[in-house]
Amino acid sequence: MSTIESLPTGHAHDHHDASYLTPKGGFWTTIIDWATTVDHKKIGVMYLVAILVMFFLGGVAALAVRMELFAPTAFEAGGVIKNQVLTGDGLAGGYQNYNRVMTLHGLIMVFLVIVPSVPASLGNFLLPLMIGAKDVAFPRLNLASWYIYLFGSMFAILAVLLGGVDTGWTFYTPYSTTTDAEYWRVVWMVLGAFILGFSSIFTGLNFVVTVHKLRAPGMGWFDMPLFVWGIYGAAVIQVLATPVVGITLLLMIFERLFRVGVFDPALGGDPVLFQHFFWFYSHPVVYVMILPGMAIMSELIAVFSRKKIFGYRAVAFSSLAIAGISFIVWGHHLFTSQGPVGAAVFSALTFLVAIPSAVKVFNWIATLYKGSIDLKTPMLYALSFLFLFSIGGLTGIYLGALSVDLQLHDTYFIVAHFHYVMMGGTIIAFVGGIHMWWPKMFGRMYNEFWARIGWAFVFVGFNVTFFPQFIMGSQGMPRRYADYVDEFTIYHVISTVGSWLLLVGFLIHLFVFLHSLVAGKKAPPNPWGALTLEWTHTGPTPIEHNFHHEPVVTHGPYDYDDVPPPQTRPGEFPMPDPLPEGAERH
Amino acid sequence: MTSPVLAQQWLQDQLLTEPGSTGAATTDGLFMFITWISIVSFVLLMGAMTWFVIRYRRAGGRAPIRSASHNTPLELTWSIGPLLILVVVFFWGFHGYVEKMSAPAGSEEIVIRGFKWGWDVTYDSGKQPSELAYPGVGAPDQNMVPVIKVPAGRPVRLRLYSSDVIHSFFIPDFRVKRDVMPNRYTSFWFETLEDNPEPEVIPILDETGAPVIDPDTQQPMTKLQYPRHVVYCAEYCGDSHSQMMAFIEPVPEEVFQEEKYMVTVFPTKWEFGEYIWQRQCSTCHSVDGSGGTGPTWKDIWGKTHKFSNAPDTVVDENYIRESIIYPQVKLREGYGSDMNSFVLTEEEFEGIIAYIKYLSGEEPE
Repeated sequence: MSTIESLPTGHAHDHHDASYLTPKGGFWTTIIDWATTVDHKKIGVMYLVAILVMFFLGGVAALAVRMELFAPTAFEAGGVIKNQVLTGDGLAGGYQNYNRVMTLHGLIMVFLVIVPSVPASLGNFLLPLMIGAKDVAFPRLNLASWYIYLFGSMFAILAVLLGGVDTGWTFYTPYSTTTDAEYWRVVWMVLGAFILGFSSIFTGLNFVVTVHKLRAPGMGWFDMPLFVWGIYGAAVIQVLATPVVGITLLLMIFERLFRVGVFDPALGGDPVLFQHFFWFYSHPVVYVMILPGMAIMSELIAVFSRKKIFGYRAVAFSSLAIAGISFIVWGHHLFTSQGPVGAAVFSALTFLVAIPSAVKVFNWIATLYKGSIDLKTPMLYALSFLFLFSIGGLTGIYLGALSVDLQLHDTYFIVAHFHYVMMGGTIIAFVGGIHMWWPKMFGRMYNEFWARIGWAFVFVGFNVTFFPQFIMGSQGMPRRYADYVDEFTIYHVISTVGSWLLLVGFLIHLFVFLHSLVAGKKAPPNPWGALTLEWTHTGPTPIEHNFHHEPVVTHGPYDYDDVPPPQTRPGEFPMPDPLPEGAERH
Repeated sequence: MTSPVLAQQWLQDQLLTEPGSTGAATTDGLFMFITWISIVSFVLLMGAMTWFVIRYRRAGGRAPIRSASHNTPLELTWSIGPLLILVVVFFWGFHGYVEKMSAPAGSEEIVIRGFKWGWDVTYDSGKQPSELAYPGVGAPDQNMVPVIKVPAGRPVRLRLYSSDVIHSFFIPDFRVKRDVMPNRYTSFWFETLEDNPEPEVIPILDETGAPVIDPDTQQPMTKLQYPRHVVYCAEYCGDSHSQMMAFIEPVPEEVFQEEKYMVTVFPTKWEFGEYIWQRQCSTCHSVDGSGGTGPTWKDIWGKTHKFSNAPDTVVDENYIRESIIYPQVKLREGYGSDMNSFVLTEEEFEGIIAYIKYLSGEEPE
């Protein structure tokens, strides 16, 4: 694809040439301009800021959890409690506070960070640019989704300020419908998650319509960058699955407030019904979280090895396959609570969904073959993804196998597995993606040296934190434990030290980004030599309406062998010798 | 032994505890099979990645080299190959699952009730385990958990239910857990590997953890104990989820029969009450005045209590009985509504009332 920027530009560009970041006037005018903007780029940037703030809050909760588990609680003569970091009224009060912080970490990271992370920030910013559109299909709905995100977050924060909730992020009934029965905070938290669902649906709906209707002339489905395919797959799931969790959460609120018996057996309900409803959403949503990470991966690997993605169609179709199969595997979260027929069916289907994910990894690694590989920070993150996601994927085989899952279910093995997939997959790809598109978003380069140092801390810290959790999990350490027997101490100590390395790594990244905003070098229009449409602008950042003229797409997104990247000096990104006349291109 | 066998054993010892049941041994075979598949796949993938990154790095602005952008036979191979391995894993896993779930006829049945926060165990005789032990988590004087003796080398079926929220009965050494539901029974079974376990000589410890010395011989006192397997609650259930433990102790048949029909005689009503407290109440209610999820029982008899949802009430027999059956009717100020209804026998109510009186100095020693 990429462009011929249409016809010669004879007319005056004047204000059309201004970067989308150019302030519209004084301080307040600019604030109002941003607050009322329908520009997908600004909304993407606002989402990015909000999500990073939430990531910080969720990270603080994670550090607190790790601090508590640094050593098991001990007792001295006279009832003195030692080593309890999150203290409370007596031993049980401390345990309760741990449960609240643990729940907070899960809720923030899932609902406020990972689900919206890539689609709402980078997706919003890039999707229209990559398909050559002026904006998303419904710009006002897009802004509404950001405000709904804030509105939902406020309910979640209100619940925390009122004392927090101890339901676990999965809200399993009947615990969640009976705990803290005399308080409203669980209702506020659930309501927050319900409202956030709408933000998610709006974003998904917008992206589905945008991809269907607004692709530039010449861009067929198989000319789209794989980023768009991944985001599209995730958007389809968001639209179809989120309403289910919305209704489920609403039923839960009814049960808490009006004692309508749906899930609580004391009122005539069935608690396993909640688990089916919940995972009917929350399993597909795992793929809402990972598909956008995979979407970023395809771009990073292609650009930094200057290669066409190996087996483009297989990668594109695997996104759709994952989106489809993800709806029929939810039962594998219920192996210990459902009957044998369900367990057998869901186990078989679960192994089926493993294949398209594996195919993607094979294709990315094959893409590196005979490439020209540049280990810039985004590429380091892409390679880390391959490393971590492979571990996350392979450990999924243990959990799909029924007899082994009876042992590993609800242990730290699960905790490690989903952190390797969700954080080692989505968050790692997200951070890599932020580095790659940082110059396009803010017009400035980041400091490559310090970003690589930050990456090293994150990569090492991640493995130190989470790898020991596999071992203690397979040895039997259950998850969501505020306290544990002494045998597991060594693994918890290592894991907690790892969390400090992660903290250092992310702080370095934060400072690198702040430094870049204040004093970073001005970015060239296409620093990585990429071929996708967002790099065709003459300036470092896109103009307000993205393109002067509707771009016309004439080549594929990854034709690095034959097309010189736009806005780069000749020879800056060398290409292989041209094919001899009449030879066929692969 | 050959070195691959040794390597396998070494790896298994790092990752898993000693298997304790026949089902565990089968599961471990699959666990190790998947482990080897994972190691080989991971090394191949990362090896290829590393080699490509080194071999094709962009040194001196080198251009990429033309190569095929897809290869259908290759892609089909790496899609179908793993699928074949996964089919094997599926059948192996399902076989092991059925093996652990379907109890053979004639299994010894033990009924276990989960509650916030403990396990209430009943043998087929209607008797409860005679022994409690401190699992190493929670306050030593408050978290004494049941030691469930089971006949070694004979099938045992556990039938599980909950009287409040969902719990999960997890025995890591047996590689099995099952969710414990408030609205239905669930079950699984096991048979321990050793049918003739050797007892260990264990020093008897006092409340501070120091060995008890026999006053006659001046030697530390000991008892015989068979190797135990720890039990955890694996489904999150609230404040004291992490101290909701138990032990399973496989013992020879004659020891089990003795345990199963053992009758504990209590000289006084309050001592029976203390026995009930240790089994069902002690995680939340202290008897020494210290705080907890629920209020202490120390020195409350005859006192007037304040409630967040009811008028002031004097602690008497009626109040105690009501608080056990309908705990939500009167909530003590400063405490939540965590407690669920407990169904006790008349004898047990009498015991608790006597024990609370005793704790206020109202009942004769």
